[in-house]
Amino acid sequence: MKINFFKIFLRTFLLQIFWNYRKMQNIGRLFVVMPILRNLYKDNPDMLKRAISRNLDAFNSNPVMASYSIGAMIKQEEKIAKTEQVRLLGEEREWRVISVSTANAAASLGDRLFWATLKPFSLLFLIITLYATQIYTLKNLDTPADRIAAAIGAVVLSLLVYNIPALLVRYKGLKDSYDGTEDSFYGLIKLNWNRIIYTLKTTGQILTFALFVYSLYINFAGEDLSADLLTRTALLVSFLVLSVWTRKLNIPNIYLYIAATFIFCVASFIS
Amino acid sequence: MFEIVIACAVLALLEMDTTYLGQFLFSRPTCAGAIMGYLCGDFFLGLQLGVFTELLFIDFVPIGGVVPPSGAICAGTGVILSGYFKMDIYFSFFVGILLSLLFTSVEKTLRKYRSNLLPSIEKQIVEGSITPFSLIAQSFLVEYMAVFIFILLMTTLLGPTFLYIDEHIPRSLHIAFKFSYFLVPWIGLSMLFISFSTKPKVE
Repeated sequence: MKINFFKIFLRTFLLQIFWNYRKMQNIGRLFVVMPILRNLYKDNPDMLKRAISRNLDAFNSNPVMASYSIGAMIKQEEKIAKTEQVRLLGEEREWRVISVSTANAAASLGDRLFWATLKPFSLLFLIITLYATQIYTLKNLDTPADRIAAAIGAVVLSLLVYNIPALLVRYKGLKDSYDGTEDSFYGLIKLNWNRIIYTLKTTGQILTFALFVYSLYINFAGEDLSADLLTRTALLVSFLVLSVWTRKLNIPNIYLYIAATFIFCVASFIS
Repeated sequence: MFEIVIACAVLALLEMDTTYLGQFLFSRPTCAGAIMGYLCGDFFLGLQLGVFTELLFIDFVPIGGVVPPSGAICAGTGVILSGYFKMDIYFSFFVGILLSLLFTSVEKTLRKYRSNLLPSIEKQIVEGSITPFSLIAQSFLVEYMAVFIFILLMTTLLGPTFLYIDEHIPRSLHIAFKFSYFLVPWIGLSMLFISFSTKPKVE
């Protein structure tokens, strides 16, 4: 059967639309594969109902990398459609194994690569690009209005830094997993994902350190040594240490910010 | 008022990108903040609120069923409150954070609501009385309306309230909020550095 991968690819953007606590992305997955199921079982309504029920099983993966699971499931679905009645249960069991194993592996890789690495990396890229065009957004708001085009360009570029790899992986994942075999884990081990993540993270750390030092320079350079400067510096250092400590305790930084605001409010009233 | 409604409608649409529609990161605070800033007539205010929000929210990763506070809601409502109701940026940022935390319960309620509907919906899909497409369209509409109403309600309640109490806010409170706002990029940058750590996290 000729698969229209582009149509499936477009449908994957709605994978999470009916996200629920019982079966997570199950309705979304069914929506993605529905044209394939209708095509495979157009002459057999009972088998179509059975396939729909099967695709309503719980499913949860990373929305970008889920393509690696969906392509492999479509391939197995084709196998089920052609199989004899006696071997049907076995092939369906195999479908479920593929569904769970590929979804879990893709979720783990996708969350680490896209949410925990590429997204912060594109933010870092944005701030560096803004600095390069002399828009010191971390410092002040008095940027000349003629810099708007440069700032819009920086925002668009940062979106591209994330979206180009994400769209490529989303599309290629469908094809690779459809063409893949069990030995290549349905295309998932074609790339050395851990190496990519490691390289991006290491580069990110070096660039963030450089950005931090440069930000300190543009914020504090030229200021005279005064009580105000010393107070700000001391508080800054204390909160940096606190933020590392709260991170270790798995306390999100917004709570540190809220706590800091309350402490300053109380202190300002007392003084 | 019409401009505020349009801004809330755009922000609700951007928020849909967080989970339900595409995940192109149009909902990331830097992008949502910049778009809302442009709409409100102060692009750089939106951009700064967006960058600050994203730096502070960097340690939230939407893994599994976790519902993190929405960065788009934080930056977007912050911009609306600053742009249309002239709330000082350090106050609007704080209010945006509280609203994003409050929005988490709205999102959880919607997810629970869908979970409760699931058994009957699955039955209807298998029987063919409802197609996945029409279900998805309905679900999108419900989600969008809930987000839009939340944003509109909160901004139109809090904005005028701030205008009313603005004159009575003591100067010391301004200084306190200003100072905690000053800390945000530094806490955020240290967080960004840690987020790139290659060491496995020990739970």
